[in-house]
Amino acid sequence: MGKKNKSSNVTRRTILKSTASALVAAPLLAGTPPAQNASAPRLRFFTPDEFAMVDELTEIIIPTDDHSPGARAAQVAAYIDAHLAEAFTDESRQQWRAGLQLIDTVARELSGKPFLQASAAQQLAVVTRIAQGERTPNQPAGAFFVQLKQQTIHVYYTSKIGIQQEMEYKGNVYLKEYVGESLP
Amino acid sequence: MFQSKTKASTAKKSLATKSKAPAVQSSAPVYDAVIIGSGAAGGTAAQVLVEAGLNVVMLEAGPLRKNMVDFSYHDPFPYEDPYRGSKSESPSDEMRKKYIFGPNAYAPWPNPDEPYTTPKDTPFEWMRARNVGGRTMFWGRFANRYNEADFKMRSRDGMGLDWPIEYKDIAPYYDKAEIFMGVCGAKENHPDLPDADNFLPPVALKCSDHLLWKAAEKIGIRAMRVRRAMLTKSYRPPGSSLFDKDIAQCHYCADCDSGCETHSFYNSAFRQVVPLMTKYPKRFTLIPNAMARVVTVNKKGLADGVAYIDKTTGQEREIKARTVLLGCGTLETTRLLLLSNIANSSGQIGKNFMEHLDLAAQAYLPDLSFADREAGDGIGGSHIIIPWFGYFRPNEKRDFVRGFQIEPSVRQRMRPDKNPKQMAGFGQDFKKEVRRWQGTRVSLACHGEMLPSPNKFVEIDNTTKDKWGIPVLKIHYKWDDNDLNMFKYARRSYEEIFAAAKAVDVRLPKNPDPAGHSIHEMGTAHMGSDPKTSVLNKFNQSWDVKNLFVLDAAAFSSGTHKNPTLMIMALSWRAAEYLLDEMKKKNL
Ligand SMILES: Cc1cc2nc3c(=O)[nH]c(=O)nc-3n(C[C@H](O)[C@H](O)[C@H](O)COP(=O)(O)OP(=O)(O)OC[C@H]3O[C@@H](n4cnc5c(N)ncnc54)[C@H](O)[C@@H]3O)c2cc1C
Ligand code: SF4
Repeated sequence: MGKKNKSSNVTRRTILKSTASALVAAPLLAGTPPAQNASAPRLRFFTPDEFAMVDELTEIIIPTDDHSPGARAAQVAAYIDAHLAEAFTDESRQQWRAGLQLIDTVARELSGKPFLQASAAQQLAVVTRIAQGERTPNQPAGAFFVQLKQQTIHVYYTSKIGIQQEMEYKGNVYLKEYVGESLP
Repeated sequence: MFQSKTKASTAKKSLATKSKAPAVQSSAPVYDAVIIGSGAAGGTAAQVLVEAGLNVVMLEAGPLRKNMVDFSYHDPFPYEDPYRGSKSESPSDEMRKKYIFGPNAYAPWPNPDEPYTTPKDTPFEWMRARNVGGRTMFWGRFANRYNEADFKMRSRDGMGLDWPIEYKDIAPYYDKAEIFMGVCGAKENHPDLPDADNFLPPVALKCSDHLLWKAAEKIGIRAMRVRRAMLTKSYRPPGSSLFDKDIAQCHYCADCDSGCETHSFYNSAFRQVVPLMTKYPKRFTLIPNAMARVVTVNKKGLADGVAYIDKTTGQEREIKARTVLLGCGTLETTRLLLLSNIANSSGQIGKNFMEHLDLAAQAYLPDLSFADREAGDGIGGSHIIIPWFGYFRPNEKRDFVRGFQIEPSVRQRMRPDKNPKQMAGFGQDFKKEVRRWQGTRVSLACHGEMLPSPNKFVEIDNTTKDKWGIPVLKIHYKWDDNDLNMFKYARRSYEEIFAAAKAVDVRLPKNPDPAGHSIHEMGTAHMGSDPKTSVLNKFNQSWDVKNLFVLDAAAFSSGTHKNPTLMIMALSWRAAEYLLDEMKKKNL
């Protein structure tokens, strides 16, 4: 095992800010939910039920495990909500709405209940069913699963949890010393 | 000595190209030297001449960028961008778009104001910078010395050209350039890469560096710690008057591609040009946005200045100087010489064109799966290099001459190393699978020596003009059998190294990287020992126009497989000292 690198705990970003860099901040996604409260963000596109579904679905795709928190903790659903609210065309909004209805239909088929009222095991069965469509993305269920999964991946692996905890990325900070790594 | 009262009218007559620009405006002072271009070549000569007391003016076709304001240096973490990088370009890309132009993989956008042409069937990716500092703002920082044999390869295999100088002529200037820049590394006693006496400490290795090193070792290929012009401790170049305090050491962000906010790797803008402006405001003048169009010549056939376009107004202006030094980055220097129609009694300008053979491959090392992440990014690129290993295979029969060096590239990345969007499934297994590949991706690149040939040259293309009506360059670069045979051998070497490392998902290239990819253009106004067959003497001085010097890699006799910048700086330093000497002796 190599020694841990000494990090001064200042992120590069802090340094850039403190040196008056003119990094122009992109306009904030208005209404991006405040980080603290994942369960009740100010929704901009989804209905509360739709949001709850997306929150559940993304967590099933990238769950919390013994290594790191999953999509729910990384607030993936909230990002998708804001993203869809700002989408240029209605097409993707319609696709998501229709996709979620399709999931409810599958849930009713499998459990007799809408997705949100189904048990955890039943919800997993629903996702397992539509995930079979991953190889046939020309079918509606497959297409929606691919869309859902890709967006979950994009948002999760660009989140702080995804980068710092799941990927354990240690870079892009101000290191005083580089001690290197030893072989596993 | 030159008459310092040359009239603009004399100069105008000698302009090689008629311009549509308004009448030349002459400015009064006559400088000791005008240096064109502010990259490694120009920056180094400027430093030597100004410190020695000369009055120097530097023309640079790009603007002077402000540190921390015009350079982005680092992209924020994606989660700090509300759009997670999906809507806008990254700050680094935006920055690069303004200052450097391809088209190539690094800067895919061309410079619409300043085109160039190629034959249809042989594209060439010419990457140019337009800012003070030239391409040193973004360079890879490999600082490798030529060895004794590198200077005399024609004597060994009959191909290409010998240099008119030897290792011992240039070694003291390697020292000077290395000490000035600060080069990290270690003494390795490797036959391909001579050691230096003044290395800064080498960088500790990354996991993947260890693995590639061992894998190479298994098949008899020797790796070593990388030598890069970057500061592994805070540093003030001994003997230089330019710095009042230490330059910060590297903070290991690995984002050298976007430039360095602390200038911990050498770049000529903030380590030479700006300090010169600050320290020697009376003796050193920078004129940015000044595109040299033609070197002007007096009745005696000596250079007496430069006519340039002020890009901010489009007006043509003129500078008078006793000596003219070109450091426009090889091909622009060549274009300027051809347009000026000078220094070419040998007919060699534009010929002997070389760049380096490049090929890129990628693979994953399962041995690194789930490895503890102990360090951060390190420095940009790998911390090892694999110098040419032909030296250890004296009896091997190869179907090509010369050699190459392999430059691995490994680092921690914040994005998944294997694209999760291409992995099936979901849930815990899926998440773990993505994690399994993290930190396992390695890539290999190389620089190989390509020989000059009649199929590799540049010329003026009078059918195409840049924004200011100046004819552009046409670049011809066609690979020869030697290049392609070396490519196959290098690819096989990659394959063997990857196999020894038990790599999976190995992706080897079908073809070399497109011509131009190395960003190492060399040789188009080469030095030699015979005025009939070479453009420059062994001090980078034109045989024909003795107060004209070529400072950049256009002066190279051969390209070897070594990254050129250390050599450019050493030659430029030496040329500047020679110029001072000749001035003292009243020869100039
Ligand atoms: C991504 C990248 C990685 C690299 N990696 C390495 C490496 O690891 N090791 C290495 O040794 N080399 C490397 N290089 C190459 C290195 O950058 C060049 O060798 C070096 O910058 C050449 O210095 P130069 O002064 O000759 O030219 P440049 O740095 O190109 O500077 C020339 C300057 O002249 C200006 N100019 C051009 N024409 C005119 C004109 N007509 N009038 C006025 N000004 C003009 C240009 O605007 C430019 O600023 C790399 C380059 C890049 C881009
Ligand atoms: S790795 Fe070091 S030299 Fe490279 S940009 Fe970061 S601080 Fe500068």
